[in-house]
Amino acid sequence: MNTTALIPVVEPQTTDEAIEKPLAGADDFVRDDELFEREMIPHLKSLFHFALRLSGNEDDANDLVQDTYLKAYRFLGSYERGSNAKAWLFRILKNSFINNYRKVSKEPSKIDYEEAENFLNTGKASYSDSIDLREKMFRGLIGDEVSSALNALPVDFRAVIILCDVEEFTYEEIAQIIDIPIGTVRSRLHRARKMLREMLMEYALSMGYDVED
Amino acid sequence: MVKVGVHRNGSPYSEEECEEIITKLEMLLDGELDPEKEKEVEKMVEDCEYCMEQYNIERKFRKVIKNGLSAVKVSGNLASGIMDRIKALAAGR
Repeated sequence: MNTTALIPVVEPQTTDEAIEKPLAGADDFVRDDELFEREMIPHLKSLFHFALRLSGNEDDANDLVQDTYLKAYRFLGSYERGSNAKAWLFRILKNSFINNYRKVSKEPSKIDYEEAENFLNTGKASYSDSIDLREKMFRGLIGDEVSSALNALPVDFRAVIILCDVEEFTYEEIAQIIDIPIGTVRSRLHRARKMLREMLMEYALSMGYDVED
Repeated sequence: MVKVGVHRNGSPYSEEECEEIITKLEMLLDGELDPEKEKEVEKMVEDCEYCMEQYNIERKFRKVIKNGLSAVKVSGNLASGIMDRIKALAAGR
């Protein structure tokens, strides 16, 4: 396993006293703001989407993205040019979310997380009895339903689904963005997808989709 | 429709084995297996009807998620607002 850090280590939770050192190196003639516009701003839409999924509302998402970029600018000295800017920004955003938003919001706590686990363990729909059902329900689903189902998942589950299935980060990148071991990324993804599938299936059934054909 | 995976000797997979298979299929679809392991799992998918069905469903599920979640509108002045603040900071540097 490659253990080289893909994402330069930053401490985004550190406040304004952070050292502001100018970028050094061969590209020194490129102004910071130009570098920023070229390498960081293109990830704005992805960051906003992630922020929206984490926070659950547009105002917080806008603030989170703005905070992320301002922090990224402040710590630009620790960003290695040409390295993984997107993962670096995602990591800063996730830390901002945890430090500034998660505490005050009524996001799922450990208890909710356990409830989610219990929900999974009751296993209303197991793999073995429902292939047919799942196959059919996918045909009737539209984006809004997938979106609502995702929003009903605990935030830790939402995060890995977005990072892997929408943004297509590798497990290693995800591990670094959210600070968990790779094995945990794998198992959390597995549980998150399973729960999402079950929610979508219950939804399909409740809407009376003809899953029996 | 195959309800459950079956070993070569005809005995059905246990719940744990099914979970294990799904996890491997997920890793295959996520591109997270090394080449050797990838071949092994691809072979498993080809050999086992149940695995093949799971694989196809997983693949469709990914598409449903990706298509269902990718449309998001960003406020038009978010980027310009951020760049204005960055430029102001840069000017002061």
